[in-house]
Amino acid sequence: MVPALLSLFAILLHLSTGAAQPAAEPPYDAAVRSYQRTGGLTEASAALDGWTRDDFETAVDTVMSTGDEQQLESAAVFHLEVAVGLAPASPDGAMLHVRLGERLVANGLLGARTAGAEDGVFAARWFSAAASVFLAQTDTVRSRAVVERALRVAPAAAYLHVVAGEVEELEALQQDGDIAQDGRGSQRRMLIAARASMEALARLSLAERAYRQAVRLDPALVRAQVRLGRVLFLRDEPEATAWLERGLAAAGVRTDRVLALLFLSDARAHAGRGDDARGLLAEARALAPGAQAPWLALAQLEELSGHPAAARSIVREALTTAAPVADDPWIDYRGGALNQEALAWLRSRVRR
Amino acid sequence: MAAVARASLGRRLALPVAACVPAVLLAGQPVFRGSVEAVRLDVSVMRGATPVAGLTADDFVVSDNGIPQEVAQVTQEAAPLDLLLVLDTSGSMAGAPLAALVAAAQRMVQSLTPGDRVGLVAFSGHIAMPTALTSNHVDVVRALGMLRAAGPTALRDALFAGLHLLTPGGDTRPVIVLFSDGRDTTSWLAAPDLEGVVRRSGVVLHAVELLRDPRLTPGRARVAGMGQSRSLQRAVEAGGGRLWSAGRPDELERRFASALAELRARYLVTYQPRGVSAPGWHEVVVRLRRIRADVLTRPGYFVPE
Repeated sequence: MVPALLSLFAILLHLSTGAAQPAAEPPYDAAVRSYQRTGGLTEASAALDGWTRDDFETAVDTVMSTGDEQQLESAAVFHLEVAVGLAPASPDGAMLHVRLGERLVANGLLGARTAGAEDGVFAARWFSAAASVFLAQTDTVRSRAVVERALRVAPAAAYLHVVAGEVEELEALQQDGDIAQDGRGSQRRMLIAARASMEALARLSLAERAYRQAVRLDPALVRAQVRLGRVLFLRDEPEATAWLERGLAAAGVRTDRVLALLFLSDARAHAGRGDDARGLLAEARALAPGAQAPWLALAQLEELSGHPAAARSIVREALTTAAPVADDPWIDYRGGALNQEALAWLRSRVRR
Repeated sequence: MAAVARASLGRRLALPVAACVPAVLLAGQPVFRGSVEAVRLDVSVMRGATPVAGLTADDFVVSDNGIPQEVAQVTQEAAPLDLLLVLDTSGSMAGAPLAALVAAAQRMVQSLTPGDRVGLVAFSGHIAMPTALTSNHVDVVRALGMLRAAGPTALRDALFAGLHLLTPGGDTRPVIVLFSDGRDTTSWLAAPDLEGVVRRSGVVLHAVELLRDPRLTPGRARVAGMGQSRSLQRAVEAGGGRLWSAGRPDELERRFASALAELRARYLVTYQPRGVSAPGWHEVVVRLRRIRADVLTRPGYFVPE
């Protein structure tokens, strides 16, 4: 991992300094082929050490001129991987590689001809993964920029509308929830609180619209159903439960299922159906034992049900048995995460 | 400042009312079976930054749901602390801030008396308990030295967990000293939910915050409603404690020391509630007779059905 990152930084360094200009095509082709063959970036990145932004643009032009779909896809995923590696330390560097990948997907794959269903699926996955590169850094500005460009290219991609909703939802959640809930104090503070609340609600409304569009385009898209249900619940809409139930019934992916269980349990608890909520949370804990949100939700339920001793016991158990996990569905939902599902699909696609 | 009705209270403080009033202790919460045996308030009295010492029962005026109460007993430093440190180890704390936090917390632990117990909860997106409450302070100092900073901030969840690791109603004073340098980003619990939990917990809550905007002084941050002061301020108000703001990491040690000094100087004010035997929330107001000072205690206590 470290050597790979060092190579990525070498690429970035030369991008900014405009250093030596090696012959473009062979090393680029070699790098993409190397990535395609091994799935690793270390070797591939080393081949491009010293490249400038212009070198990359020229290489991308060359690939596009060939019209070779497999090469276009491989190069696009290669740039996406570079962006993933760069994003934590260099958002601008990551964005450059996203833009290079975008050209390959939008102009190369979809551009000059009518996109087939296959192209559409690839583009939607690619763009949703690209947007999530920045979402994982809680960078909603860059995420939104990627999604907006992507939706112009593939407006019927349900998955992209989900990502668009996620950007809005994350921004709403990132609004200072405490400000939004704090109506006390000075007039200035109340005005700040009111404005923050209005902005958060407006963002949730945009998220709802995006998720609704996603389920219109793809009624079986569980991620959209679950997210739509949660947003409606946060806005106190009675329709929320039906969407969460529908999402839970169809949820096969662990992340979707855990979130559906967590969100539906919240809705059940608010409806006074504590036993239903307990059952849902038990399943969530079994599916994701390292995730603490289901434990805390259960403890909160017991506390509010007048069972403080049970709440204490659950908290102790959560802190002593729930080991930290890298893929905590709640934390990924709340803080934004890389779309691993799309990334895995893209990787397997270019390495087929 | 915990308002606690307890069968054990009469045993320790030898209240004459304890033997004849049918009250039971249920998980540290007062339970009415006719009446609450006794309510114990953990009260801070400060003039500026200096604790006011030497007060007696005659100096306190207490009302419970608006009904004046007779103060039975006032003691100071009577009970050892059950101190839980709940510390933010999210990614933003990496480097000098974490080093300063660890040093400040270690100094605080080393300043405890042998009868005090101390525990440690560290949180980022994940909440961990490196050491449960223990009288072995050296273990906690060592555990503090092992803390590493990474990840997001689940401040409210960590506080909720901490409140449930302490059991009010024993012979100790349950206290949380919470530290954070940033906004909550990943908690399951919402702020209003947490405020209720703090109110019901019977735990005294102090918070130390590190302001990350160099232009902000602690006072300016609060006046402008910036930083995280609002939510923490409301939580500590519900917990009868104080919010201590540090503008720089090197101020943390002083803030932690001030928090401990304040905790040591608090009074335990005990009364047997009269005319207020209804279950539910009991609003408690504590004032001083003839003396001008800043009085802080929990806003009340909760009696389940």
